[in-house]
Amino acid sequence: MVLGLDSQNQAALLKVVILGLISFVAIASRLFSIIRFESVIHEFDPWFNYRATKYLVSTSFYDFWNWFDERSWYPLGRVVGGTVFPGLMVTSATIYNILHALNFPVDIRNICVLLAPAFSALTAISAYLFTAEIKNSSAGLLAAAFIGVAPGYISRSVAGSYDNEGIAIFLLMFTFYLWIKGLKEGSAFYGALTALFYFYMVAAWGGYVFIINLIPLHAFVLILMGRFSSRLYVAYSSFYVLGTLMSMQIPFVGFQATRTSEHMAAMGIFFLLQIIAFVELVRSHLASKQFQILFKSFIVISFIIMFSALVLLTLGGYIAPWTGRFYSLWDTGYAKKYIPIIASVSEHQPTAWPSFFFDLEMLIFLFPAGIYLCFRELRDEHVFVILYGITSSYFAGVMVRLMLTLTPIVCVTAAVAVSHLLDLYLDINDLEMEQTIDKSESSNKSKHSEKPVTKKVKENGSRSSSNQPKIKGFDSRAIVIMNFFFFLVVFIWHCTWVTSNAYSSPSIVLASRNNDGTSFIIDDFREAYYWLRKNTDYNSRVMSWWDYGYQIAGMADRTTLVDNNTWNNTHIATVGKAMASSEEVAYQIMRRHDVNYVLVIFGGLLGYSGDDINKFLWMIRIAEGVYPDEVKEENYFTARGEYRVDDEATPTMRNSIMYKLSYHNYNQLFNGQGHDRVRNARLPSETIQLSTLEEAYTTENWIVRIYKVKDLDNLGRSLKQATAFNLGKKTHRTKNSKKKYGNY
Amino acid sequence: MIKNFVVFIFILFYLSCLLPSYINAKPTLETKVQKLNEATRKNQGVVELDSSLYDEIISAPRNYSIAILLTALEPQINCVPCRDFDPEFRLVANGWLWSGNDPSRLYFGILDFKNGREIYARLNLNNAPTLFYFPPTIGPYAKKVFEQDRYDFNRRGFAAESVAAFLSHHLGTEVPVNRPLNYFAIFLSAFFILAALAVVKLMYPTIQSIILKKNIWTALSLVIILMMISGHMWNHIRGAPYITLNNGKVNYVAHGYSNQLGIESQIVALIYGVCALCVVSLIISVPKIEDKTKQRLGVYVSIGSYAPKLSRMASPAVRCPNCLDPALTVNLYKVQNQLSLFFIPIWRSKAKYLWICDRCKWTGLSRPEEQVREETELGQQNPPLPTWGLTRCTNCSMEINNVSGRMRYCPYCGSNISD
Repeated sequence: MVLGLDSQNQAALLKVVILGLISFVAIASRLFSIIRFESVIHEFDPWFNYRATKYLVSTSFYDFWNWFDERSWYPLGRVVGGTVFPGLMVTSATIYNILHALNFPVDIRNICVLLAPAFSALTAISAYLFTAEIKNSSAGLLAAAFIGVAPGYISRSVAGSYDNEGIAIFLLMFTFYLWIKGLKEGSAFYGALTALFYFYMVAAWGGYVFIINLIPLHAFVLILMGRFSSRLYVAYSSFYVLGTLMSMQIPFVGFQATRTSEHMAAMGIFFLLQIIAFVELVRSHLASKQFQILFKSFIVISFIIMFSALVLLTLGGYIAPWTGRFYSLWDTGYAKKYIPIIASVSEHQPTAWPSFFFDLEMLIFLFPAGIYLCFRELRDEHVFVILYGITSSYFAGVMVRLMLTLTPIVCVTAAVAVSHLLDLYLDINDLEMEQTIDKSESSNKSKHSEKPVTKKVKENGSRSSSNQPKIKGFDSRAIVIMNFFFFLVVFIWHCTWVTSNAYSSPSIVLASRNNDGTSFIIDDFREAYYWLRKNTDYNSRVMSWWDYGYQIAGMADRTTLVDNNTWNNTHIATVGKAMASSEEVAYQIMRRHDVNYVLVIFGGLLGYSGDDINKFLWMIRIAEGVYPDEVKEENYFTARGEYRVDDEATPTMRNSIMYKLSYHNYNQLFNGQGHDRVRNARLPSETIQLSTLEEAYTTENWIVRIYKVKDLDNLGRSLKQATAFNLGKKTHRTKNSKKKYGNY
Repeated sequence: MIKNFVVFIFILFYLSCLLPSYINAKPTLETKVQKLNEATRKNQGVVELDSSLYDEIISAPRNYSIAILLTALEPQINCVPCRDFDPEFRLVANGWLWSGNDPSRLYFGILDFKNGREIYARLNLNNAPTLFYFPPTIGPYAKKVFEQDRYDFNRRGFAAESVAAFLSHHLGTEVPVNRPLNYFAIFLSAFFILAALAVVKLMYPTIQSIILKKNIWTALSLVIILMMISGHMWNHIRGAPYITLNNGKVNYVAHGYSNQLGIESQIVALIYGVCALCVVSLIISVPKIEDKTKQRLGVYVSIGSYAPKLSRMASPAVRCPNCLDPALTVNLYKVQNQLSLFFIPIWRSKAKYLWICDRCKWTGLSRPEEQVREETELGQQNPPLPTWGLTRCTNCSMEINNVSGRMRYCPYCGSNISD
């Protein structure tokens, strides 16, 4: 007796304490970026979410719902309320309002920064609940510990990465837990709760499509296995009906929930379940065997009819086919050919095996072992785990980004495997020495405790009496336990190392090391955006590649032409065309779009490889997709098919404003020929002349360069003529003087 | 009258003198078109060219478009993409012939390397196949652009449909592709479907017992999962080579973090499979062994492994004599064979010391001599020869055997070679 509690309560207390510690570790390991840099919002998309949250907090919910953002996608604007998943913003605004109601004046930025770590603690708890349903609570604790630190999940949930995925993984796991619970108990209450959390998920992340296809798939496989039951019927029907009705409340989803192919599987299974339930009902009243065959064929025929109706409706245009983003998961070559804007994002590349190992370490080989163990038991919930494992491993293989959905199930199955192993090898009751004593003790225990909640007690009782498999030698136990202890330690070490080194960089603030080992902070992005905010007119328009749209809007508060929302391909292609074409053409485009400033990212001085010259090929490609006659990719390659920036660069390349803006005045920095450290090239020696743009600002390390678009010439000359006139005397004179020297 | 006759004779004489020389010097448009039409009719839409004919038909006054494929079909050259592309090109030519459009608007020419070495030399071509499109210079279809356009195989691919799309874009009318129905394949698949149905019908009890076996499904799911987590989809999407050869040595592992070879992912899948098997046997099989000693043996077998181990020594890095990377990439390594229980070392063999380049895996027993990179000399010694599938990586300048034409990543440094 410890603390005056019996063993059952002690176990419960221990579990709570352990879960609390796991949550603490999960939060703590995500704080590297705050400690190292500061409490800032990371990357690109989070800046939009942050801006939207600020808007929501400063106005009301209905204002947010009707928000038309005229400061992005100039001159088109963007209907934000109808094109956004509001779950994330509403969550942080709710937390903000609660805290302020309690008189805690917390800044909205800090709530946004710390939201993802806080939800990772909740994810650990929901992984515990889920795994406890699959095996038992000790496996649940392992799963919680794994998901708390697994890099595959940390990559999207460090402090500051204020993105939809941060809360979505918690919702995913919790929805699945509720579904399993509802299915096990056949409870409409849990089915409704599943629907409620599904609704939250729909509000939060586009990945909800995974849920609305996986649960029907589970139901369908259960039907095929002959495991139709009233529990399945109740759980699924309550989930589907409520979930669909609620998901339609999100304007971005709306009638998609009944009209697109993504949701058709769920609807089909719903109807199939109704038919089967009806047939089962009738069958229970009619015993004849002939009728049963008749009914079976009725089910099969209605399935076929439903399927062909779906195909016909899709062909007829009543049901929208799969959208490109999801379709490219099946037909893997599709995106590259037809939607370069999706293919251009590095998150959408396929995954090579090193990234799997990097993100999951030892869990990756425990994953198949856990799946095998699930097959051995194969209750309804194990079928779910297996289906989840297969589908998500496929998706993770196709897109790096979907590693995120694979991580939870890997943690769960690995926890099942490790927990099986520890049950066997750590079970002191099985040692021959203590066997006899233990026997009496365990029987005593089962007598004492009325409810045998902990399964172990029950199992031990039966195990010691029957001929259960067990490990006999102490050394065999010790070596396995030591080994796995070592594994777990290495796993934690690896996770911490990966988190600290790979996933904790805010990417708007870069860090490098000086030769003497001191760290060197590169803060060019914020420097440039702050310059824009302070030195330009509030209404000025900034043209940049779409990657930087959200950051400019968020940090500099200036109007942008395109941003990371990428809803209008033509507009992006227009910007790409401007960047890819010569000054004269680009000037026309910029004048037409009222552009005041052009912003390019240049990494040549520092060796920052994610700069615009490296992204330039995608700009050309996207522009070529819309303007095939004016922009041609092959013009930017040398005759030998190389993409170069040095003396061998093609004339088209050298005339493009992207090239000019990147390397303008760069040679002067070197007093001769500049050296590009990213592409490892010496630049052409001639100086780059700009006539329609002038340099406005270049940051400390030259990462961000801002140019001002010149106004029309006062005398009505073309800007090229004007510049030539201004420079004309000089060049003329030097030519003359050279001649003179030559003559004499 | 006589005077007139004399004049007539004179004119005739004059013409007869003039005409042959005129034909020899500069072919008229009509003769060119006539030649092309004849050859086209004879050869199902394709004109076989040689060097002189090539020059003749691309010379300036053209009222027709022509797509010319420069290829190398001789077996000793061993240009696999050429051979693969040839039927596709002929398919497009044939499709145009039967499309109902005016066939004299667009011609299709093929110039083989054996007939047109001069052209290859003049155009300084290193790669085959190469496809040029020449637009008309005169006539109703002429546009402002008279220069030829080169078809980009890397980006557009080798399919007849993409060539047809390319030509359609230039012509402004559709160039159709009619793939001949492969009746044999249809018949074969129909036969197989029927046979499969028959087998299902006849052997239903057996099949049912197989379908209902849990082990079958277990094995299937595990194979799928192992394939996926070892990067099979990456190979599939990126078209990674199965294995690469480097100076006669077989490479099993590709360089770079986000790069891999076909066999590499299979090895990884195998390792994962073995590890998972060990864990499962520790959980399920080992406890079932009755005898204590045997059980102990089982535990040890499941856990043990024997593998060479590389450890990097603290010694200054030097420049690699093989790849001449400006960064110093050669380091001293200690190589030991060690027996470990999973990863805890138990016993080590005698150590051996090796110098290994991190980039190109050059290996030497002694410290390599310093060498100076002489880029300019290497590039300018003699003009590059046609390479037929062999290309040079722009990043690490290693020679890549890209015979299949499907490789997009350099197997040595992992940089993208398709762009």
